[in-house]
Amino acid sequence: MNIKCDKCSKDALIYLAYGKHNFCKDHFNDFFESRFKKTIRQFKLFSQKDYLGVATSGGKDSMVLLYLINKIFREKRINFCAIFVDEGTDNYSNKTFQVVKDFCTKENIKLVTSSHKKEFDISTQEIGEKYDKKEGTVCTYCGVLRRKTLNRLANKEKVSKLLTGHNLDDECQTILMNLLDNDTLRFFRTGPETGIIDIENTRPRIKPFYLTPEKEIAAYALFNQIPFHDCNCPFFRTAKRNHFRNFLNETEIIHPGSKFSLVKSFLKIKELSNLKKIITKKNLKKCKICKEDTSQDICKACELISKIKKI
Amino acid sequence: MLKKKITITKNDFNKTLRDILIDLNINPETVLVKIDGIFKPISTVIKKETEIEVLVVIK
Ligand code: SF4
Ligand SMILES: [Zn+2]
Ligand SMILES: [Zn+2]
Repeated sequence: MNIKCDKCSKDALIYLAYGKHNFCKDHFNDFFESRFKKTIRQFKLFSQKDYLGVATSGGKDSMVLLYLINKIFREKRINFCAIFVDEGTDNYSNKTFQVVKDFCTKENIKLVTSSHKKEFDISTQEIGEKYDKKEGTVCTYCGVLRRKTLNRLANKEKVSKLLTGHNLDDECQTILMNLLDNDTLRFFRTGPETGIIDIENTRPRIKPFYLTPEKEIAAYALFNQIPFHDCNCPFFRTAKRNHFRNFLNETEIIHPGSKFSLVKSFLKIKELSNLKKIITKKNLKKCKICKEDTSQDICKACELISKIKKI
Repeated sequence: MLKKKITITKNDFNKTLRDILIDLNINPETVLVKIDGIFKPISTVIKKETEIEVLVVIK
């Protein structure tokens, strides 16, 4: 009944349908870590001279990311810190923070934090109690504020690159969502490195898990006992994204490797298009309220905050 | 993390975990499976009555 690892005589723990691989823990770890390093090299995500800020929420993706940066790049003497944004959600943010704090203390990693309350004088809990449903979900507000705070912390800490735990599944969902929304600007903005052409987030953001399936991140976390929190934020509402998540996972059963193909096709289209040139910093302005970079007179965060404070 | 325990019986013998999960309307792309507390690849063929633990890793 036991299936053997493709590379040694140990029992396999995981099967990867797209490559028909059966791997034991050690060979899965090798495979997983090699792809992580290869993605960083292939897209030239960072170099020795960078100071990296790892955006860490306490969830599996960002905890595995922080774990790997610490495991692989600390000895290569690349400087990094963890960045945590406290959204201020009752019975949730305190738990997520504890996971990050404990890990950083144990591994002696510098942790930089702030909160929505501190930056914008309003927490996600308070937004949840009074937000305007016409403006989308609580996540619409919380996400914009989180990006803004991450950027502020990155600037303050003078990190040169901001790392996020976005994985292959996230990227596939985003590509499909933008495509079906006919949102060409957003469609071309995504990729393994964003921020240079993304006006409201001037700090380059990089995604070392760009080519890593979400399931494998969960497997790596569980096989290696990496701590992460798995509780749901009470405001979590992403019906649309869930639809694409299910669609992609259904497709992956019938056509293993579809997620990789989608992202690779997207990268080719991006390469071939000259739309990249249209999305430049030429429209860069300063927000009239916070004085930070934006494409509008008032940045999205200030716009949402002033709306909600009027309610 | 949501965990489900499922007992595999005679009708499903000689099938892979992957096919058994699909028949149960569980997407094998979203779960990891343990037998006797040990992770098992979904390519595993079940030959006798077995209790499996399904961990839903993608919501
Ligand atoms: S689920 Fe939504 S509201 Fe909750 S922390 Fe995430 S973005 Fe914020
Ligand atoms: Zn092996
Ligand atoms: Zn502003």
